[in-house]
Amino acid sequence: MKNRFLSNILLTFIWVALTGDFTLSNFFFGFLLSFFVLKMVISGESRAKYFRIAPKVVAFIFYFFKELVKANLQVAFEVMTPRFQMTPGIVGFPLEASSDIEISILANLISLTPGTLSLDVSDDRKVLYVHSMYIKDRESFIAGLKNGFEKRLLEILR
Amino acid sequence: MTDLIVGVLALFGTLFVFFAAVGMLRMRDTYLRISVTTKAATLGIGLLLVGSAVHSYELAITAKVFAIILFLFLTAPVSAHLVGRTSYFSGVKLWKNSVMDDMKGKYNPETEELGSGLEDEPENSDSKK
Amino acid sequence: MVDRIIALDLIITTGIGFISAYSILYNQPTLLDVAMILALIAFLGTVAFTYYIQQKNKP
Repeated sequence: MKNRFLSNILLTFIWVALTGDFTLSNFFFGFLLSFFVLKMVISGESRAKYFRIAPKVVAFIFYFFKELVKANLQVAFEVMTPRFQMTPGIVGFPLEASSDIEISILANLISLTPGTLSLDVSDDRKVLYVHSMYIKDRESFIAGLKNGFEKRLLEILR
Repeated sequence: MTDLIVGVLALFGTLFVFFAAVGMLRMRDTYLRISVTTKAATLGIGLLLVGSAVHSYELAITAKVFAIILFLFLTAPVSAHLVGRTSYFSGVKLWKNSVMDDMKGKYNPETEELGSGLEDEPENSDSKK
Repeated sequence: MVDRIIALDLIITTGIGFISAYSILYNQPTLLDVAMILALIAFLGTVAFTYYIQQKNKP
C-alpha cells in the first residue's frame, strides 16, 4: 500500500521532470497518468488494496466538502431568519471505530461540519458525545452519522 | 475572468464570517455559539484565502495559503472540542428548549471519569443501535 | 466566561479575514505571513484559557 503510493509519486516526479513544466496542473495530470499506468502494469494479490482505496479517498474528500457547504447554508439560514426552529441536544453516539487514529479523525470531522460538535469520548471508548442542532429523534440521528461519515471513514482506514 | 472568481470567492467568504458574527449574538447558549461560530468562520476564512491565492497567481503564495488553510482545518475542531468539553464540565447549562441530554449524570467530578452508560445494564441502553 | 473565549477566537478569525481581504485589495501578498502567525496565536490562546478554566474549576 505504502510502496504503491511511493512509486506513484516517483513516477509523477519523473513525468514532471521529463516534460519540464513545473506547474500544479501538470503535477496532477502526471499523478493521474502514473496511477493508471501502475494500475495496468501491476497485477497479483498485492495490487488490490491501493487501487481500491485511492478513488474512495478522493470521493470521501468531495463528500466531506459537499456536507460542509450544505450544513453551512443550513446554519446561515437558521441564523438569519427571525424564528428559531432548531432542536438542540446531546446524543451519545455508540462508536464502531476503536483505535486512536480512527476516533480522533471521526471526532474532528464531526466537529468540522457545522451544527454538530463532538464534546467528549467516554473513558472506555464506546460512546462519543455529540452536541447537535437538529435532532428529530435519537435513532435516525445516530443512523445518519453511522451510514454517512463512520462507514466511509472505516472503509478507507481498514 | 480571474477578477470575477476572486470577487465571488471573497463575497461568499465575507458572508460566512458575517453569519458567524450574527450567530454569536443571536444564539442562546454556549454550545450553539461554538457550533455556529467556529465552523462558519473557518469556511469563510478558507474561501477568502483561496480568493487571495487565485488573485496572486504564484506558487509561493499558493503554498503559503494552503499551509494556513490546513492549519485552520486542523486546529478549529480541536479548539472547539476543548471549549465545549470545558464548558460542559464547568456546569454551563443547555438551552431550555433542548431535546435531550445523554451526558447528564455520566461525569464524576471527583474521579474525573466519564462513563458510557453501556457497561452495566446492556438491556436498558436505548442509545445502542 | 467561556463565551468570551469563543468571542476572542472569532475576533482573531475576523482579523485573519480582514488581512486576507486587504491583501487582495491592495495586491500585497506579503501580509499573508501575518495571517499565518495570527492563526497560530489564536489556537495557543484558546488552549491556554481553557486550561486555566479547567484548573480553576478543580476542587
